[in-house]
Amino acid sequence: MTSSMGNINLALGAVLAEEQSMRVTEQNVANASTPGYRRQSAALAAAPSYALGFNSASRVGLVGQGVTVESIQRFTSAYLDTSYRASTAAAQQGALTRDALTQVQSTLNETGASGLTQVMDNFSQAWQALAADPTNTSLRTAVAQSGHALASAFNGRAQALLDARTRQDQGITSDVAQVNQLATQVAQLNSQVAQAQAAGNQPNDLLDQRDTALDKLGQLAGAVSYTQANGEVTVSIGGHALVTGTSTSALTAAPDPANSNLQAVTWSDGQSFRPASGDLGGLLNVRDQLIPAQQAGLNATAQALAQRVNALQSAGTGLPPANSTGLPFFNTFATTNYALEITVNPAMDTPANIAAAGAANQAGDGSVALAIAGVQNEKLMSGGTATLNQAYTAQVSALGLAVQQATQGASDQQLVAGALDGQRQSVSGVSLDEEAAHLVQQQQAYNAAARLMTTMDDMLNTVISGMGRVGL
Amino acid sequence: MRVTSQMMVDQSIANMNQGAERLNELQNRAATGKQFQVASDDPSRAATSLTLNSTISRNAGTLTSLGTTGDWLSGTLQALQQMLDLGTQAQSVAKQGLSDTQGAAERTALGKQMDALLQEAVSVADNTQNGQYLFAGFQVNTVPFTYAGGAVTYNVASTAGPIQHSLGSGQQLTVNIDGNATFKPLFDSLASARDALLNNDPAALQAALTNLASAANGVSAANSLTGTRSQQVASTVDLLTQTQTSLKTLLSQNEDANMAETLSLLAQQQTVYQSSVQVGSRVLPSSLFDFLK
Repeated sequence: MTSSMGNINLALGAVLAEEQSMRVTEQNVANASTPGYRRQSAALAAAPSYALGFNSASRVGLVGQGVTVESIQRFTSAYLDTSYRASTAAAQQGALTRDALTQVQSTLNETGASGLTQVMDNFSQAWQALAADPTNTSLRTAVAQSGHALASAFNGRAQALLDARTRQDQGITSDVAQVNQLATQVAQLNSQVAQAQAAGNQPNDLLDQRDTALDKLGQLAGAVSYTQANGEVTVSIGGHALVTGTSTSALTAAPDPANSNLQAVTWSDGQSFRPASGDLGGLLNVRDQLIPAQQAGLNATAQALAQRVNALQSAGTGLPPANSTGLPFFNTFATTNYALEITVNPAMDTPANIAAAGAANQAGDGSVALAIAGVQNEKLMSGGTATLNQAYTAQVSALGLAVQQATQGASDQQLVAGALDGQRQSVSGVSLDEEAAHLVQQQQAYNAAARLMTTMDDMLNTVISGMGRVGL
Repeated sequence: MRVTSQMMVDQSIANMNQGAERLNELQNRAATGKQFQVASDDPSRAATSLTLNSTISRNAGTLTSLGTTGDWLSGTLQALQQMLDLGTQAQSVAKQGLSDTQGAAERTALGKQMDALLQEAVSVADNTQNGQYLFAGFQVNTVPFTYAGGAVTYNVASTAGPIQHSLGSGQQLTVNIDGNATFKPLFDSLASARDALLNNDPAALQAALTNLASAANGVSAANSLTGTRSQQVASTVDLLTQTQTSLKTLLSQNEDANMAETLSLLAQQQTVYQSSVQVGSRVLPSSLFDFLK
């Protein structure tokens, strides 16, 4: 048989359960815009029933014992998390490549009036003008000046590319430090989560923290993770374990003498670090592939130009009476950083030293100047198939194309990541409308349970105060 | 699909960003009047523009140096024309001296006239263009001919040159006239005609007159050669000027923005952007909490 006190307890259980539900709703509303927060919900379940009229002849069946909160459920999808991390890693890499290349493009400023092709043209024109009037000192000075302008155009661009590489390098150093710090955090959380789960608890907040750290690791280095049965996650980057249980494998960044003393990133076991995507993937790709390609093109142009001009200039002769000869126009190179190093021979600042003539005592001969002016039409580049200008223009348009592709790629990846984030949000995010509706529902249920208790109280009051007083 | 508050915020921000980005791009296009700002906006057009710009500036350089070449050639033409006039005058003086009515005294006077013509011819052969001797070959700073004591001294051993100027795109043009080769016969025949007149020797004068005519022919040939060169330069200048115009048209077609199109796109994008901002302002703050009591 049922007991009246039991009925009050049932109502109390309902009141407490609804209170807990409201508590969860409050938590959801409070964290509606917290990054990494996954919405929670109190999973209510009917309490186990017992058989009514157990001892009586006529069994009436099972009757419920009210409601209990079974667990605080956390809405998440491991599949969406994994896909989202992979796509943000790719998007991050794309965005980084786009930004770095855009910077390179704008520092080179080839489409502007001071582009390198324009400066090379000016140099040729100065020689052409000198060829038509070889004794003109001001034209000779103009040749030297245009040479200086050309050299400094090369120097400036080479320096800008070098600076760009250094900037990527600084990014790499700070990213590596972040990866290490996040790995440590994940390892600590692994230990806490495993402990909590072993004790039968659902550590929702710890899981949120860990997922946020994993998101960040994905963005930084394209890290992937697998959840173990005990609740710990294993994290790896490019096939190498970063976090296993509660231990981490740290990354170190140290200057690499073989690569202009830029940072080389290695695992603590000495293996080299190769992230396929993420921030670090992008930074390493830009620093070690894309910018060096631009440097190589610039160096090849500077070297070919200097060699050819020097050969012609050394064979020519300056103005009489000095008739200086054998002087190169550009100083000889000490390293292979041709574009960074190229400078005009100081002897060229003396106008008479500039060799325009083919032989001594021939002031009016401009044949050498004419030949140097013609260097722009010689196919010196790409194995004798392109002029200096053509080769450099091709490089500029290749860089433009690379920027365009990176921009397109980044925005495509961003769309994918956005869509996946939407799906993830759809599962895990807090909807204020929904929470408001839940709140109303929970409030009503709470009120009803309280009302139930009042009714039971009235009934008991009838029994306690009203019964056994017949005839009074 | 379940739509959460954060999704709406994110989506709304993404829409506004996208709108602002397009607006910015069109704004740049309208403000600069260029179809693209950097190579990545349109790599193939940018490459075309670079090549066109380069060709235009090379042509401009060639046009400038062709100006120098043209000046040199006109200086040369002027000198040769003067020389031809002197030759004609000398021939008429010689013919006058050949007349039987002339006596020794008259011939001496004519001989002095002839000597003056020789001096003038030497000074014309020393003509300069922009401070450079026109007929001295490569030795443009050396006086090629001097007259002293009735004789001409040749100061420069070889006046052949050749001085070559560029006609652009690898073509070259020889611009000088070999002074020694062209003027020596004239100087020689002038000197011999003068001597014949002074010596009252009609037979020698007759021979000198023949030489004078052939020397004048030589100068005339040089004159017409220079004329042809001058014409070649003029036609190259014409061609280059025309090319410049058409290249600039091409460049403009390649990189200049169609303003009518750009401005209407800009207006349209402005509307789109404003709507996205407005939609955001209406959607974002509202939730069911606002309506429940």
